Amino acid sequence: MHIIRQASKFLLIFLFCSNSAWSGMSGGGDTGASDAIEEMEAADVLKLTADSMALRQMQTRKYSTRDDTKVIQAVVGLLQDDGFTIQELEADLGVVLGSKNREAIEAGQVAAAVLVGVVFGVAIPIDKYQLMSASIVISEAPSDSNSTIVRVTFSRLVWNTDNDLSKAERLEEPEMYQLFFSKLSKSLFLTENQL
Amino acid sequence: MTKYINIPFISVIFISFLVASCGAVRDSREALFESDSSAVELRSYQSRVFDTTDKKKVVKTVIATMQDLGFVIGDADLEIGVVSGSKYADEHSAQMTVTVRVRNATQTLVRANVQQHLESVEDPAIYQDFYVALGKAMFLTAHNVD
Repeated sequence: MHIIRQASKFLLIFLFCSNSAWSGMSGGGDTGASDAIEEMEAADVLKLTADSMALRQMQTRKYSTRDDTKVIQAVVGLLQDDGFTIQELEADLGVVLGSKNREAIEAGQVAAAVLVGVVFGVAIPIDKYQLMSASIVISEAPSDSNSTIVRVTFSRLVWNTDNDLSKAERLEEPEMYQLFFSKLSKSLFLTENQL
Repeated sequence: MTKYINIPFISVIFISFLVASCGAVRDSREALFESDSSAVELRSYQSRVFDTTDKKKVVKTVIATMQDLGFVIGDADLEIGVVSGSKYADEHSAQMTVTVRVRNATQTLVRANVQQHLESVEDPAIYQDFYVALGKAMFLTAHNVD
């Protein structure tokens, strides 16, 4: 009886750890039900959704200048400030893509992996490194020809210790976008003052 | 009698059948040219024509529409008229390329290609969703290619 109780306790710990450590991992352990959901979402890949407009608002700011070159320079300067390298730049279309490789080790995942390792003697992969991207598009404001619209999207790809892609996601924390735009205001000012 | 049954051999055969039945291909290099549809059919549901020759406006609107659909713009070129982007959503991430070219004195041709789940999307309804969104953003009707 005691053994059964112990075993079920370990099983619970294992389930908890594997959930937290493997959350977001693609491809693994698909059930019929999740396949159905996935297909539904797959069919909707090019549909505008209810949160499309909310997303647009979060990712967009208007600046009262019509000097696209100045805005692009400010964006590039800001990306450089944050350690991004420029992957793609098309001035005619106002498109800038920056990216950077960074570590992606998180304390929570390490703790869960260590626990599983100690209890069961198996190594589970944890997130190791990530490619973070910032995609910026600059365009004339549709309603106001004296202003420029800047829209940014942050995303990242994460690989685990097995070198498998464990996450591919758009970053949607509003604070990130607020911070970006406040930095861009500053960068525009610095660019204007030849810094 | 039982000693003639070779368990590892039988397992190998069993696993081979199992793998084959899971839809594995004979040679994965064959995926290089893979389309199920004919090129004409493919182009017809992936393309639309708009009554404008303002290529820059079309490309800019394609970019804005892709962003609204949740794509991260990875690449764009006005001269060639190409925009590429990725949509990151873990289990249903997608990649998309849209080409834009002026077709004649009054029209511009737009073509979209999407891949998802390691396959090209060959469902015309999905492309229709894109052109509905793009048409709205351009204030123009998307015509089928005649």
